Amino acid sequence: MSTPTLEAVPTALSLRNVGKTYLIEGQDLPVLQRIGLEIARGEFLSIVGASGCGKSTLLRLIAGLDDRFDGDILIDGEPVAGPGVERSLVFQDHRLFPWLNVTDNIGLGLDSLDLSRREREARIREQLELVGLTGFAQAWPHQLSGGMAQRAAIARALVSRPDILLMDEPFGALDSITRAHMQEELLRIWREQRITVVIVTHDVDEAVFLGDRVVVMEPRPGRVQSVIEVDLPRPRERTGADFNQIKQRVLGQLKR
Amino acid sequence: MAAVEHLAQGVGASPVPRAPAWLWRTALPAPLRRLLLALALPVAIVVLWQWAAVRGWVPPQILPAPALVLDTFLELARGGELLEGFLISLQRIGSGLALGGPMGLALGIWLGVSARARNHLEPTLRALFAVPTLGWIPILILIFGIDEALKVIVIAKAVMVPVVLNTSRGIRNIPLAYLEAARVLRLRPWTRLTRLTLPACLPTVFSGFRLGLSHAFIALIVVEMLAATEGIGYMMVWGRKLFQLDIVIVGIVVVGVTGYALDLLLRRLERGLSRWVPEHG
Amino acid sequence: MVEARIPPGAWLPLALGAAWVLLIDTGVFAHPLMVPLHEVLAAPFVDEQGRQIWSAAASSLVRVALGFLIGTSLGITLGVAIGLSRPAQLAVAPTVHGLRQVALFAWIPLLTAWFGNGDLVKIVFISISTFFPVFLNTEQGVRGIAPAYREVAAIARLGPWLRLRRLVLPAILPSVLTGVELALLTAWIGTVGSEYAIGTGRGIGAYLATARDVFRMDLVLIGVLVMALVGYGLSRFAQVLFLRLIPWRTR
Repeated sequence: MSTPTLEAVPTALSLRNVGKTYLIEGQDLPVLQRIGLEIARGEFLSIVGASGCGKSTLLRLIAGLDDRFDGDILIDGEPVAGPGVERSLVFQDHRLFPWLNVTDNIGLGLDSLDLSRREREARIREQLELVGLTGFAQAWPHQLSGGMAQRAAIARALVSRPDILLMDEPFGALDSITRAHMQEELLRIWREQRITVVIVTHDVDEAVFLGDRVVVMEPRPGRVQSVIEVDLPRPRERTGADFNQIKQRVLGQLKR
Repeated sequence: MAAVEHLAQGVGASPVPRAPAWLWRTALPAPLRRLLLALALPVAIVVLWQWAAVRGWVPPQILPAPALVLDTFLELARGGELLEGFLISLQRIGSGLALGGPMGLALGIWLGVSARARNHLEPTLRALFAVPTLGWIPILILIFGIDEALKVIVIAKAVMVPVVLNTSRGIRNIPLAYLEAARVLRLRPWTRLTRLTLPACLPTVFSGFRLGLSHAFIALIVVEMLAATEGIGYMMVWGRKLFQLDIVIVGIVVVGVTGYALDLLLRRLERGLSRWVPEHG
Repeated sequence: MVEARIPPGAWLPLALGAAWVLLIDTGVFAHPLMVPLHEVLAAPFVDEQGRQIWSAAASSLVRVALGFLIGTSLGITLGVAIGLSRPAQLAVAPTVHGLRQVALFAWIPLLTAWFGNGDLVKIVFISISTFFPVFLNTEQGVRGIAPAYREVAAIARLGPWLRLRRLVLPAILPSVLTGVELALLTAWIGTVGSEYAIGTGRGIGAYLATARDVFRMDLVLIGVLVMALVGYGLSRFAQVLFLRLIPWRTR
């Protein structure tokens, strides 16, 4: 699947001159500075950077968890104002409510929508199937493995059928085997649901494997250092020469 | 555990190994040994007590024989006075709980949720809570006299304090992670309350109720001793007036056992609850 | 730029105080129990019975000091002695825990039968109230001395006295002070409580009982206020003192 050109497809997510400053003990601490990105509908964007480059902060701004920032964040041309139904966020820790089973947790994603009971049940079933947790509808979060819990969290995020899925180091807490598996699952979900995905990660391999483009950020203050196109067809071979070349490019940028 | 015991023995003991100790250790299983040791002192006291009473070393008005105390206990139990007093006391705690519990819960939720409420009310509440139940009694007696309303109000106050403190703390300690998830999911206020706030702070709130009930029981005894004409607390005062210390001692034992049983029951419930609501955070 | 602002926490008390003055001091609400604020505040200085609060307070303070000292010394000594010996622990601690289940107040009828109505019984009661938290916390502290430390002491072959001074006492200091801090408040409540229950003699509790009997709400309020203030003062004092003694412990 080739990356659609910007002229042909409308921009789903637009960041213009986005900046954020914290005030700590009377001093201004700039965390993000002059971030500019245009993300097309249906694109898969990876954001990498070392710790402290503000990538998580940026994602939270897009999600609407924080509305104090400079610049503009536009969704389909409209500025964001707090969380919205068209955006969902998956955290690094699954944050499933331990006192609700998987079905009820996923159901939380539908709370802000006015659906009939039948619709709710149908959607939840659909999501369980999508993430491969059909047999675990009644399970409790503590009974799930890390990977399964994260899948449930993804289901919770997707059940409201958002246009944009934001993911903050979603597989960081998983072992490498599960992580590789989850990455493939994520690509499958992305293709089937035709959503826009923005994933923040510190794993370069993951960023190159998943993204149409890789945004490299540098810290102190957080800025976009470069944007690297990953013009490889999927499924991508992690051991392939092309793959490695792009990976080295990204690593090179990070080292600067 | 055994290693620590061994070391503990080493700290105070002499370097010479004691053969009797070794025999003592292996003759009986550890839990039984512990039980026997724990009973040794009370049994010795009771035996000494009985002997002193039988020998007449102390007059029976000062120290009634344990046998007499047992007799009195059975008499009161059979005669129904014990049960009657018990039920009245239980009813008072129930009423106090029904009054103070929901009020404390509501106030605690408000304080937990609203920083403004906290800023305005906390200093005053802290000052009020710092006055022990005992301090409230003379004030309330002047206002309400010594009928049932007084006792229920005193007990309600005793319940309220830990409930308010724990509930507000429980709500404020809800992990930020869940609060953020709720925001991102755009949960409706009612859903937020019933599916996040209440379940998340349930263990702390329950703990507050457990403490509240403990305090309520003590407040019950105090107020019954000072301003009542029936109930377990009153029974002790009555026995004292008649200089029948056997009744007083029965009262003391009943108070101790009831207090212990109540606390034990609540702790069990709390443990069971925390198993059902799995570990958060 | 300095703004003189009333902190939000003060609004409620100020509003209540204002309401009190406006409604009661002016006579809008007349009721024997509704005493004007200025009268309440003046009572300790001008009222004949009100002035007795000072000697009552002094009396209570002397009692609590005595009872507290007795209870604390007994509690620490026994706590250390019993904590050091495992058999003693197993024999004594359960009994003390069992006795602690009895609400302190419940001991008063028995104690008055044994010790009468005077100062003795009150001091005995205060000592008992103090003893329990101090003993239990001390004993727990001794039990909790990390086995590693004990090993070091055993290997260094420290004699019992030296071991006590250099290892046990410093190691249990935080636990002991926790127990002492708790005991301070318990002792104070026990002081006023026993004075109130027994009713005779001098002290804040007796003062409260008398005020209640003559239906003087202003004196009752004064008594409660003094009791609360002293209680607060004692716990603050304990906190400050302990912060100095064990500065490495954060609250």
